[in-house]
Amino acid sequence: MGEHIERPDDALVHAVRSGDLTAFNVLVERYQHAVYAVALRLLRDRFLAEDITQDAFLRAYTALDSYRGGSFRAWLLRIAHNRALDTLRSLQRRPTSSLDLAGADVHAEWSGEPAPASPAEHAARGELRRRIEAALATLPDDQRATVILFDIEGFSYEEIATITGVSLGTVKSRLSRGRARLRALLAVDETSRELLEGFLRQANDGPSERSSGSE
Amino acid sequence: MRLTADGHPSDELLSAYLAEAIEDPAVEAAVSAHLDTCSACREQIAQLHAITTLLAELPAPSLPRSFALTREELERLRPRPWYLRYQPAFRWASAVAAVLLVALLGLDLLTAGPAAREAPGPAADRRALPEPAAATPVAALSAPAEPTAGAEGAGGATPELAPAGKEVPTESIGVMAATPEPAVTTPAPSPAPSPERETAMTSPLRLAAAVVSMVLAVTLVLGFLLPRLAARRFSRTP
Repeated sequence: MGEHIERPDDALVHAVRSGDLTAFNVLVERYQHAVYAVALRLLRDRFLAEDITQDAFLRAYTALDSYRGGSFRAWLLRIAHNRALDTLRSLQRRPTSSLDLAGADVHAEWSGEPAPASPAEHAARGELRRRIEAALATLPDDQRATVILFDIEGFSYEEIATITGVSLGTVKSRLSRGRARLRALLAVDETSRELLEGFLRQANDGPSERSSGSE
Repeated sequence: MRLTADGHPSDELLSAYLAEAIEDPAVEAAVSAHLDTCSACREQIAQLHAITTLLAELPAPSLPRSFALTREELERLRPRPWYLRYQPAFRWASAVAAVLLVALLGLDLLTAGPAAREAPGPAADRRALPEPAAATPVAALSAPAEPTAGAEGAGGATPELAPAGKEVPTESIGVMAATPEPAVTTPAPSPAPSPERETAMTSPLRLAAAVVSMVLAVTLVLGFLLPRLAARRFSRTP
């Protein structure tokens, strides 16, 4: 497996197709964090997210012939995203879903907190992040998936268009609407608004892009 | 350009402006101009920007385990060639084709052999051979058909023949392919002027038998031979 680590995705896909099975696991190592993170943020249930991640890689392996170049990680995430949405829909059809119960334990799972500026500041920032995540959970699925993929996981508009199977324009409008809704949700809550304003006061001390509104 | 009724751009429009997702350059310019004069909207843009910053620094969840597939899983899931994917279908098709072939050949024997032989008897009238066939050619024709038919009775032979014919494929497919040989070839070498009506009557049956035997051959190769060859090739690779 060692000789594969540096190889680009398409070279690894080619190796898998010509019978080198270990090359596939290099791709798994490369993308399992992204697949699991997206599945967990969409479903907010660790066990479902684990199932979907496992299933996505199995499907990707058996359906590798249907990958026709482009972005492998977008192709892979498309499989995971579709599976996650299918699961979400089947859960939402049932009134007593595990989603409400599972939401609470998600936060305990995060690892690697960013370095704190000061204890109080760190606590406020953590609380704000927690509130943003809670607000994110209330967005419609399509907006939520787009915000997760773009703002959290850092996929490009083009990749998200592939993953979610919609046009670039739709991706952009979902992102804009999702963010606007997040802001509106935070603004109506007194504590959240104050936390956000406190965060902005700190941020104004440092440089920030486009936040002043002019290009 | 007025953006909305209250003069301020909507939440969504500000968000689109931040995402650089406004299609119409005139609208984008209008939002930009508005932001230069409106501190409330600038604040809103700053909040949106802060939210994206905070989203980006959400910590990644830790993996519950590695999702690497084991060698056994990979081998089991290995993308299979198309003929292996449809192997059960091919095997079923070959079994059906074998039975059908035997049935067709049996039917062919019944209509050609006994019908001709029984022509002189009164029972043969049911077989729709009204033409008064000459005694000599009929006798010559009946001889090669004898071993398979093996029934002297007129109408009683039909039900007995069908089960006897069906047992053939269970022994071996090779035998089955060989047995119909004489029945197919007999009319040609028969010295007598072959009754043309008879060949015309049996030819659709034989055409069907030929088609079915071709299907049988193809499905045997795809369902049995190719998978075996492929298995041997895979077992050689480490």
